[in-house]
Amino acid sequence: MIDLVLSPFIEFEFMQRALFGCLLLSINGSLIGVFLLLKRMSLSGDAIAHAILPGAATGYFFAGLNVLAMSVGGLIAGVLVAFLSGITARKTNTSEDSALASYYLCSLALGVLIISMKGGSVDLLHVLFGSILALDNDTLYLLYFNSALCLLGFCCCYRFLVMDCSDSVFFKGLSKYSGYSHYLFLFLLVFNLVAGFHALGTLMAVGVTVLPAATAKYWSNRIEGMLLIAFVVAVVGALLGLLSSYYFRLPSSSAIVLWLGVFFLLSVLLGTQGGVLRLVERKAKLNEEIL
Amino acid sequence: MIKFENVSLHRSQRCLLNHCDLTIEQGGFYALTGDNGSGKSSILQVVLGQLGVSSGTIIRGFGHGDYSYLPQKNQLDIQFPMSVEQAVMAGLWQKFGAISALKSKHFERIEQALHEVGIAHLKQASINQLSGGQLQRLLFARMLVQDASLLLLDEPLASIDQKAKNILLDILKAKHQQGVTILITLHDAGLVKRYVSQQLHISDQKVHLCQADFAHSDDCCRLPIRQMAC
Repeated sequence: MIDLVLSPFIEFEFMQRALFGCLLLSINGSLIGVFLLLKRMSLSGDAIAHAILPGAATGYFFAGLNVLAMSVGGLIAGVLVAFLSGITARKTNTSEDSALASYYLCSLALGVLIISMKGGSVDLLHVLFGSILALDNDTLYLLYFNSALCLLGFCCCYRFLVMDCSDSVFFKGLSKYSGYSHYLFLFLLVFNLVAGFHALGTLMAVGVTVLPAATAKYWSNRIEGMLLIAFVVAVVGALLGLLSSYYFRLPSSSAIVLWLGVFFLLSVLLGTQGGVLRLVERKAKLNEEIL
Repeated sequence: MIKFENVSLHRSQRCLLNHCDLTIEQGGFYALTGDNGSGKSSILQVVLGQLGVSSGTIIRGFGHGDYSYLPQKNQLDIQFPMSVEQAVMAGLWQKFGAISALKSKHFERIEQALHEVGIAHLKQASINQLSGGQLQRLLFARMLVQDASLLLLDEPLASIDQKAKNILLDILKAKHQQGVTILITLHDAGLVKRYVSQQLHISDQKVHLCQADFAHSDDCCRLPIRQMAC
């Protein structure tokens, strides 16, 4: 059994690279995902993941599948969409989610248009679904840099984010820098998604961010516990996804996200914090007490 | 000290204050009273700088961290995964900030505040397990640990029972005796009379300052001891 798990990673360098890349993504994904969930922005994360496409596509248009060009382009597009939706929501009579939805749809359409102008459907698939089994050095360096930046950002701003998420009105009264934490968080989110799309693609990058956090919510009622559980879930999901992809010839990013989906569904059923089984138990106990 | 000079305030094209002067002295215990929609909450927001005025000048003798504000609508996300102790800890932000480590004296201060409001036994409970009244006590505890020199409370007693009201008002009274300035919006005339030294009553776009002993008596708003120039 242990041999089945370890041998692909011992024998093949591309599997080692894939695992290392997933590990790096799991660190950031779990951190960012938990705060996305607590800010009730999970769908916004998905929208921003799509919004980076035209920037990445522009980079691709001029430099081909070049990591730096696509990353810088994706970063600019993502930050621009996040910033524009924030400004539109604050300055006009609309909510941030509807502004974001409008901008990201335009952004996605523009991205597909740019890619189709240069390449064929294979290139589009690469951008949408990534290439975790073919990570080159440049992509690994990007993931490594992304992890370092995210960890540093979270070390400095963890308390800012907790305060802002739990009671932003109260925090505004305490610190004149309170408003900046949200923008820093959005920047880290965009950067993480840009790095993630090289490995897993724009569609799947948000999966490794949101699903572990959503799973963790069913097992812990403390933020520290949620962060730890989300990280473990992300790593185990990535490991199982890569192994499934190796042994059953499945698309790797889909396999990883589907494993994370399995953990999420199991948690919905069995989770100790509001899982279905626990709710049924509680209801039965209550009925017993009444009788 | 907070000073309104010739202030006019409009909200949704409705005039709430019309060329008003108002002075809130340091160390005072003021109750802001008036009918629903008369502008009590708006005045608190103006004091905080969260709401702009149509004309006039506001002089604020306090800065960030000098005040503590308890809004009418609780903004604490009760689904946030944290304990009562952690929620109260947020009040100590000025002391530990973004990076400094928490010391034992901080935890002792939290414990003491939870004792004062009577929910020390719930220290390790998750905030989503609290009732409305317990949550309000938690917010009071968070306010206490801030040790702010100005407390602004917007109808803080709306969702709690009489016993808890008395406990929390006793705490405010003790704070007032320590020299803290308090501005609270209240509806209960009896509580205003019993606890508050000065009443600011809003009517007809004017603010009247009366001694709380006269609160809600007919004389109060017709012949205030000192009517603010409105």
